[in-house]
Amino acid sequence: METEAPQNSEVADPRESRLRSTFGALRHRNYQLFWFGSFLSNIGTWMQVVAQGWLVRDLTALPLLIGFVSFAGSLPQFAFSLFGGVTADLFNRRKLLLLTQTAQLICAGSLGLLVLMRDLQIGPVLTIWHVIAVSFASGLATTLANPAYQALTLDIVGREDLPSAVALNSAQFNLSRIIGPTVGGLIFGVIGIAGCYFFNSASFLAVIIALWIMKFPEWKAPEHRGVREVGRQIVAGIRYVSGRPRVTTLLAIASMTSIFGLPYLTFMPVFARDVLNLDARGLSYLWAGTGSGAVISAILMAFTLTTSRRRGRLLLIGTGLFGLAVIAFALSRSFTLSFFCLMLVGGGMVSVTTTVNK
Amino acid sequence: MSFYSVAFLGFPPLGSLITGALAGIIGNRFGHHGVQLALGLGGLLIALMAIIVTFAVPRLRELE
Repeated sequence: METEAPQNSEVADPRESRLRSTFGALRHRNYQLFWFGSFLSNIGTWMQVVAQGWLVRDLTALPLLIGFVSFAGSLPQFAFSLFGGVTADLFNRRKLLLLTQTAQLICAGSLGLLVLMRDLQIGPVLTIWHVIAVSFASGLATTLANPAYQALTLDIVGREDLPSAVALNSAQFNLSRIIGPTVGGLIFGVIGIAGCYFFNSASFLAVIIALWIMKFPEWKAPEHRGVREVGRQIVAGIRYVSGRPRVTTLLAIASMTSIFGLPYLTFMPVFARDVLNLDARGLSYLWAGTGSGAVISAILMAFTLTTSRRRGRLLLIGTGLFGLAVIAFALSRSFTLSFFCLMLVGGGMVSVTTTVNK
Repeated sequence: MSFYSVAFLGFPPLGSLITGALAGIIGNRFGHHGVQLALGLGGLLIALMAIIVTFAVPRLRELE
C-alpha cells in the first residue's frame, strides 16, 4: 500500500525540500520494493556482463564478431523497441514484467549450464553461436521489459515524483554497475563463468518476488487493443516527434551518443585484455570505474534537475564531456588513466540519459 | 517512450557492429590499434556534434 505524500506547504526548510524532491519517490512502498528488487537483479546482470565479455573474448578475437555478438544479442531491442513501448501501454505491465523476468531467468540459467558442461567437458561443444542465440532470446525479453519497467515506475510514483524516480532508477542501475562487476571480478576465480551466469539467473527472483508482493489496483485493459491499435500508436508517435524539432534534436543526440559512444561497453574486455593487459579482475575494476562515475553523476543530476533551469546546457556539456572522455579512454594505454576516463564516460552518459528522459 | 527506448537501447548494438567492422578494417592497416582508433573516432563525432548543436540550435541550449 502506498503511503500518503506530504504536502509541499508543510516543508519550510529549502534544504529539506530539495532532499524530499530528490528522494521523494522512496516515499512509496511499491517503489521501495521495485527499486530494491531491480537493484539486486541488476547486480546479477552486471556480474554476467563481466563473465560474458570474458567468455566471448575467449571464443573469438575478431572485433567484427565481438561486435556482432552484441548486435545479435540486442537485435530485438533495435527491431522491436517501438513495439515494446506500445505493448507496455496496452498490456498489464506487472504481468508483462513477471513474464519477461522469468524468461531472462531461464536464459541466464541455460547459458550457465552450457558453460558448465564445457568446463566439465560433457555435452555439446560451446560455440559463439550458442551465446548469440541465448543472448537474442534474452534481448527479446529485455525489449519488452524495459518500457514496461519505465511505465510501471510512473504508475507507482505518479508525475510529481517521476523526476526523483528517474534519477533514483539511474543511481540504482549505476550503483549495481559498480557492485556487480566488482563482486563478479572478485569471485570470478572461485565460481567461474558458469557461476556468474547462475548467480544472475537467481537474481531475477528478486524482481519477481517484489512484483508479487507489490499491491496494485485492478488493471483494466484499454478498450482498443490489437495490431491496428499498435500501428496507430506508432504512427501517432512518429507524427508527435516529427512535429517537434526540439524533441527530434534530443532524440538525435541520444541516438548519436548511443551509436558512436556506447560501443565502449561491448569492447571493454578487448581493451582490458589486449590494450591494458589486464585479467578478469582488472576488467571488473574498469566496470567499477564507469559505474562510480555514473553514480556520482546520477546523484548530482538528481539534485540539479529538480532545481536547475539550465537543462539544455547540462545536456550539451554532458554530451561534449562524454565524447572527449570516450576519445581519451580509446587512446589510453594506462590503467589509471583509463579508469578515470571511464568515470567521466559513465558520468557523461548518465547526464545525457537523465536530461533527455526528463 | 518508444522512441526513447530505440535511441538508448536499440542503437548501441548497431554501433557495436559498426565499430567492430571499422576496427577490423583499421586493424588490417594499423595492426591491433583497430578498436582503439574506431572507438576514438566515435568519441570525436559525439564531441563535434555537441559543439555543432550548441551553436546551431540555440533554443536547445536555453532549454529549461
